[in-house]
Parts: sequence; C-alpha cells; structure tokens
Amino acid sequence: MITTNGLVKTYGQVTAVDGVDLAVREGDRYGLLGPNGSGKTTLVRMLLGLVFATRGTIEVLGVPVPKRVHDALPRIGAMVEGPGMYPHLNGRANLTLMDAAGPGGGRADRKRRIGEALERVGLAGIDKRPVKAYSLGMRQRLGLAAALLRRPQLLILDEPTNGLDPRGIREIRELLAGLNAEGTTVFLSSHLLGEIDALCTRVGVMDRGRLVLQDELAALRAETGRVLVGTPEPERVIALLDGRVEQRDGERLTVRHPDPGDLNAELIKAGIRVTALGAERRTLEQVVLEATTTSSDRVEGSS
Amino acid sequence: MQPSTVVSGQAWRRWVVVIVIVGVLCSVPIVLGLRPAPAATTADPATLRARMAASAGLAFQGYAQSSGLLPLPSLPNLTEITRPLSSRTEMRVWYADRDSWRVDVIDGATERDTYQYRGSQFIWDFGDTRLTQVIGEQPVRLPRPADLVPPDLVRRLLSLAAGDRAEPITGKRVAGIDAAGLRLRPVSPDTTIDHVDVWADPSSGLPVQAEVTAKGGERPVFTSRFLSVEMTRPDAKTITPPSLDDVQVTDAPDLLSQISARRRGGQLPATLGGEQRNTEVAGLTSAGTYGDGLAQFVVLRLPGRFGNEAYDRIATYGADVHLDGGHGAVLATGLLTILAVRAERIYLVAGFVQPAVLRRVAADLGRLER
Amino acid sequence: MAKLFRRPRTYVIAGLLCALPFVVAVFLATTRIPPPPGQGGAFLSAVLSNGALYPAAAMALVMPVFLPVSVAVLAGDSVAGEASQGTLRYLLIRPVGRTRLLVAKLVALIVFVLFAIGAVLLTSFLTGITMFGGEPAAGVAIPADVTSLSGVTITPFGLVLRLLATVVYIVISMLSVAAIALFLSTLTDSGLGAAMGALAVLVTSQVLVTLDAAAAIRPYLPTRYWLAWIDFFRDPMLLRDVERGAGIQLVFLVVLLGAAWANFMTRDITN
Repeated sequence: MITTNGLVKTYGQVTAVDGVDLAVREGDRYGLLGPNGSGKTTLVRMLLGLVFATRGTIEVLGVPVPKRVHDALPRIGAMVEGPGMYPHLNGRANLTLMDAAGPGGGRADRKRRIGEALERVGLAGIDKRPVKAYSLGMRQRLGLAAALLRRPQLLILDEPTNGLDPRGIREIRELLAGLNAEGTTVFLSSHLLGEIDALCTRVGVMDRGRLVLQDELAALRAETGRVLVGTPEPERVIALLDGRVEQRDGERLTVRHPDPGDLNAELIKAGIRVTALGAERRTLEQVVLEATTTSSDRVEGSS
Repeated sequence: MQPSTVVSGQAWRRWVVVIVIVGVLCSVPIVLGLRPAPAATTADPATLRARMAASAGLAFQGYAQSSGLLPLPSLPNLTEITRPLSSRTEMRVWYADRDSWRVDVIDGATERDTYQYRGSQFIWDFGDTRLTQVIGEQPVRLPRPADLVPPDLVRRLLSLAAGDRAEPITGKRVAGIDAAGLRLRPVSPDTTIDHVDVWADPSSGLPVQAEVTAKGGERPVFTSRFLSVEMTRPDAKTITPPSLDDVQVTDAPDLLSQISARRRGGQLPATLGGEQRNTEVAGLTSAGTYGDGLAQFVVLRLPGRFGNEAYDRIATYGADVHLDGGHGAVLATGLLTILAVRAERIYLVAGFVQPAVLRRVAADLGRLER
Repeated sequence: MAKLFRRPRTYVIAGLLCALPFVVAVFLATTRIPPPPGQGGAFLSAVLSNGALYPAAAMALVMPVFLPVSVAVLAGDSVAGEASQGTLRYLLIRPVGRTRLLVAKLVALIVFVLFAIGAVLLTSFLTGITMFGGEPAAGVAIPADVTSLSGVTITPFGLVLRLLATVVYIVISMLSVAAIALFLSTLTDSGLGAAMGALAVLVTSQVLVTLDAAAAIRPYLPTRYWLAWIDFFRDPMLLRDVERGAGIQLVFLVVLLGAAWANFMTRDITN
C-alpha cells in the first residue's frame, strides 16, 4: 500500500524526515507514533504529494509519488493537520464544493454520498450554520466525512482525533475499525500513544525524523519472560523462588520465569496464596520510550 | 529557490521554459530596434529635396507624434504655440489634398480636431463640445498643431531653408518606411539651429520625420515623426466635419486676427535689429516677420490686456534687457528665443535666432516707442 | 468557480465599485459644475449634456484605482487564501491538478471582473439616465444623441458595441494585475502580502508612466495603455493603443502566469 525508501526531507538546515523506510501493507491499521515535531506531518504530506522529498522514493497504492500521484489520490481519503473548510459555507456546501472540485464522483449521486459520509461520522443532523460556527470536534468530523466521501481504498489521517471528547474518540475509533473490516487500509499518525494502542495493528515510531521502530503491535508487546505475581505472602514467595524475584512492590512481585502456568503450579504446590498472576508484557509506552531519546520540544542546556 | 528535492529537475525545466519565454518576449522589441537601418538610399539630395517640396498633393493617413524639449513657460493665450514645443503632441492625420484634410490632436480623454473642408476650417473641441467654423483663408496666422504633422512641417522647413545646403544622411526606418534622409545646415550665423534632419519616402517624397537640433546640443530638441502612416486616400466621410447644421461660425479664429482687426498703431518698422521685414499683408499691421531663412523671427504687437501676462511670465523666467524706452526680457531656450518688450504697448518677438539678434531688436523697439 | 459567488465579499466589492460613480453622479447632477476638459475623469464634462455616456465616465472613474485594487486583493488571496485557510491541501489531494487550479483561479477572476464591470455599467447607465437625462426621443429610454469624442453621433447600437469593446478591453487590462497578484500569491501564504505586492507593482508602474525620465520603458509598463479604451469613443476608432495595450497585457499574463506555474508546480504546501 505505502512503501517509502530512504525518504529524506530537509528544510534548509533542518532535516525533518531522515531516511524513512515505511511499509504499510494492505488491510493494516497502521499507526505512526511520534512526538510533536518528529516529522510525522511532513511524512504524511510527502505521501500525498503536497511536499516534495529531498531524496528517496515513495510508492502509494502501487503508484510512484509524486510522479503519478494523481493516479493514486482519487483512491485515497485524507485528512492532513486538521480539516480545511471554507468558514463562510455550511458543512454540506463545503463537501459539495470539494466533491465538485476534483475528478470522479458523479453529480448524480453526490447528494447521497454526502449524506452517507455525514451519517458515518455522526453529523447527519447538521444544520445550515456556517462552518465557522462549528466546534472543533464537529470540524474534525466534517473533515473525516470529506475524506470518506469517495469510499477510499486507503485512508491517510493525520491526528484524526484532535479536539474530540472521549466519546467522540471512541466513535471515530469504532468507525475506523469498521472501515478497516470492510477492507480499507487505515494509516493514521498521532502523538497519543493510547489511541494507537487501542486501534492499530501495526505501529511505526518516529523520532527526530527517523523511523526508529516499525512492527506488528502484537510483536512489540511480546512477553518479557517475567511473570507478575500478586500475593498476600510476598516473603514466602521470595524465600521459595530465591533470587528469581526481580522486583518487589508491596504485595506485587516481578518474577523471572518462562511460563506463568508452571510458576502458578509451583506456588500452589508450596501452599502460597496467589491473588493475581500473569505474564508480563511490554507496554507500548515502554517500547516507545526505549526507542526514542528525548522529547523533541525539550531544550537541554549545554553545560 | 527551494532546496533541491526529487522534483528539482522538473522545477528547473519549468523555470527554464518561463525564462526562455521572457527572453524571447523581451528580445522582440530589442531585435526590432536593432534591425539594420535600410541600406543608405542613394537618392540624390537635390532630387529628394525637390520631391519632398512637391509632396503636397500626396494623400496619406496616419498617426504622428511630435515632441519638444524646450523649457518654455506656458504663455497665457499662447499655449497653443508653446505647448507643442515643450511637450508631446499626438496627432491623427487624414490628408486627401491641400484643401481637404483633418488633424486630431489627442490628449487623454479629449481631442481637438481641425478639418479643412470646402474652403473653410472647422474646429471641433470635445472639451467645449463645440464645432466652430472659420470662414475664409487667413493670410497670416499663428502656428497650429496641424503644422506639426511631418509632411507639412518638413515642407515649411525646406522652404525656409531654401538657401541652405542639404547633405545626405543615413536612412532610417520610420513607421515601416525605409526613409532617406537629408541634413540642412543653415548658413546664417544668427540662427540657433545647428541642423535640421528630415527623412522622406524616397520614391514618393512624402516626408515622414523631422528633427531640429540646436547649436551646442547633441540630441534634437524638437522631433516630429509618423508612428504609422499609409499612403492611401482617406475616406470622404472621415474628413467631413460632423453635424454641419449645428455649427458656430466665427471669422476671428485666433488671437492674431483679433489683434489685427483692431487696426491700431502704425505699421511695424521696415527694419528691426538690422533685418528687413518680409511680408506686408494688407490690414495686418501688428505682426510681421523679419530676416531670412531659418533665422527668421516674428514680431507681434499686443494690446496691454493680451500681453501683460505674457510679458510677466517671460520676465520671470528670462533675462532682463535694459532699454531706453521701456522694459524688456529675453528668454533663451537653446532653440527658440523669445523677447518681450513692455513700452507703451507690448511686443513679443520670437524666432530660432540667437539672443544677441533679439537684443538688437529690443533696442530698436525701445527707440521706436520713445 | 462557484465559490466566488457564495462569498459576501464579492458583492461588497462590486457594490463599492458601483457606488463610486453613483456618488460622483450625485455631486455632478446637483452642482452641475463640470470638471475642466482634459482634467478630472474622462467624459465627466460630457455627461452633463448626455447621461447615456455615463457608463463610459464610470469606467474611467473605477479603472485607474478601484478596479485594479479589488482585482489585486482577490487575486492575491486566491492561492494564498486557500493555503492559509487550509483548503489548498485538500483541493490538491482531492486531486485538483496544480495547473488546473491556477487556471480555474484566473477564470474566476475574469468572471469577477466581468461581473463587476457589468454591475458598474448597469448602475451607471441607470444613474446617468435618471440624473442627467438622455434627451429621450419620445419616451424611449435610450437617448438618440450620444456624441463621440470626435463629435460624431453614435447610434445606440454603436454605443452598445463600443461599451462591449470597452468591457473586453478592461478585462484584458486586468489580466496583468491578476497575473501579478496570482504569481505573488503562489509565493506566499499571506493573501494580503500578495495583494500589497501587486499593488506596489501597479503604483510603481503608474508613477513611471507619468515620469518623462522613464520614457524609454514606458511602452512596456503594464498600466501604460490602461485608458486606451477611451479610443473606442473616437471616430474613427483609434485601435493603435488598444492593440498595443492588449499585447502588453497578454505578455505580462503569459510571463507571470508562467512564473506562477513554474513556482507553484513544485512548491511544498506546508500550511
């Protein structure tokens, strides 16, 4: 779906994107995670042919970008850095204009398609108010509706849940998951870890312009070879396991052990009461923190 | 320019296309300007001169422009004369023959048209929204813008410079015509004119450009040329004045006739500043020309109410001349020299002559009034 | 583009354009003091005797400043405005070809100029007829007697024809303004900056036109022949300046639109 090769973009002295090899496969729910200023937006813009790479190649939907981006764009729905709307027009008029501005999408079923898109994003009941009177969340939904107008094969969304309340975020997440189930590949970027954790099947992590990590979410969250044990008798466990307990936090212990089942059997055999037991998995947060260095908007003193 | 990107190549190609277009478009006027001047036409100067002088019967229509660079103050009541010498005049000309022609002087959103039609002159002024008919031929008159149209101007200059020798100069392309040129150098030391260059269509003799260069000057200070000209006979409708039934008739068309009509004061003296008076027109006592060829000058005697303002203006910009019987001032512009004398009446003297000549005239006029 | 006509701004500008001749007409009609011939607006002295020439006078009033300013503002905003609104990126990924976008913007500007001039013509014609009267022949609204600058009577048909020619010429004259502003608009994200830049070019050009020392470049200035449409009201019509003016405008259009195109095609859209 999306393949980039050694993608570099420099603005003057600043390198915004540095040697990115992105690989998004068909059917993915791909989350591009990275702090603000890590080059996500620039990368997204390059994918859409808005910004031109300094070096490297891009292929989207099997088409080289930016050379033949026009063949790919009709099959892509996108939202880049917040929705752009004509503030003096109402939502429906905005969608109509956008739809009429480009190729494809016949006049005949335009009304129907707009109605459907609005319904999907939960704006079926919008009135004649101009967009400038909309709340941030409504605009965000409208932008999403614009991206969905043409039933795209690929959705490229930059920070899609910006400005939405928790319920809205959940609705959008469900919408995207539904679309994905219907066969749409979803590529979204976010600086919110939880969002990507909750939605995506595949994750790429950007840091200072580099793609430092790219893998299946499941693989990233592999077991660590440790087991978390909750017990009212931690002293006994420590005595029993002698040296394999790596960490103690009140009644919670972290034990180095390959198999939680065996450990459980062992503890029960020793007559130790266990209140909780499970394999430790890495959280996405840990993964990201390991992969990235420091927050890019933090300015270190050079003493 | 932006830093290089994967599309830099395209960008460069596009800019190159644009720059090439700019280059081509810019070079068009330059190339047209550098187009080699026509090979020196081998027309014999005497023949060319004769052809030009005899060109009055040639019909033509075109667009002419004259520009004068003389630093002249505008003289009240005489702006029609001073303006062409100190600014640019755009004219549309339709000329069938000596007695039927039309000249439009165009200025911004107005125009002033002069028609010569069936023995009388019609003047349409858009500013006044009035058509005026001038009955009868005027024996002597003030210059008018129609005199600046190259053929008329050149013929007049040629007749004034009848005694001066002409030498061929390089040809020139004027309004699409490969014109042959002549240079007239006045012999008289009294004139401020260094030389007059005229160009004409070598085959028909229709003059297309005239340039007057003053002594000590490098560039011509007065130029009149066609910007476009066709040697075809204009439409009869075009040279017919509009709405003949709604016309205001006058027999006093310009200042000169108005003054002369008063018939006061005696005849101007037969000699002034050592120069002979040329013409003597019956009834015209307050104006006369003196001198020969291009060194001629005109003397006007004006009643106070016409002349005072003009005198003041010239005295402001010109140099005072001491006189026994009045005040005088000479304004020298390099080409045109104007003298104003205020005694009992006001005299205006003008010509392409050296200031020294007019100082002598001033002295004579001062004596005359005493 | 349909957008143009959904914007209140368009109507405000057109309304202002119509209002200026109207105000002038009110003053002229009440005082009946004509400006001296050759000064003031073209035709203004003539309209006192015949109101039907007022559309021409109105053109002369709006042409030198008002119309170019509004065109510059609209054109300057055309690309930069979309960029700062954030709609430009959506148009481009819609996808609208970049060349197509520029051409559409230019077409929209031409439509605006036509619309604005049409409005000015209509209102000024009505104003002229009602305020100055058109010497109507037996109650006919179209006056029988309009004279050209050369004093020749123009028939109503001729008047309409000349006004149409004027409209066409003015549209062509505005092309260079539009192209300058459009080019600047592709350079910056600030519509105001682009409009100001275009106006700076125009003002410079206007100043140089009147400056004798700049005579050498005068024929190549974009504003040199702006008022050449007045020549349509001479008889016979003088087409010399009109041809040159149209030529210069087209040259500016080609060059600047080309520059806008070359710049815009490979420009990063970062806003």
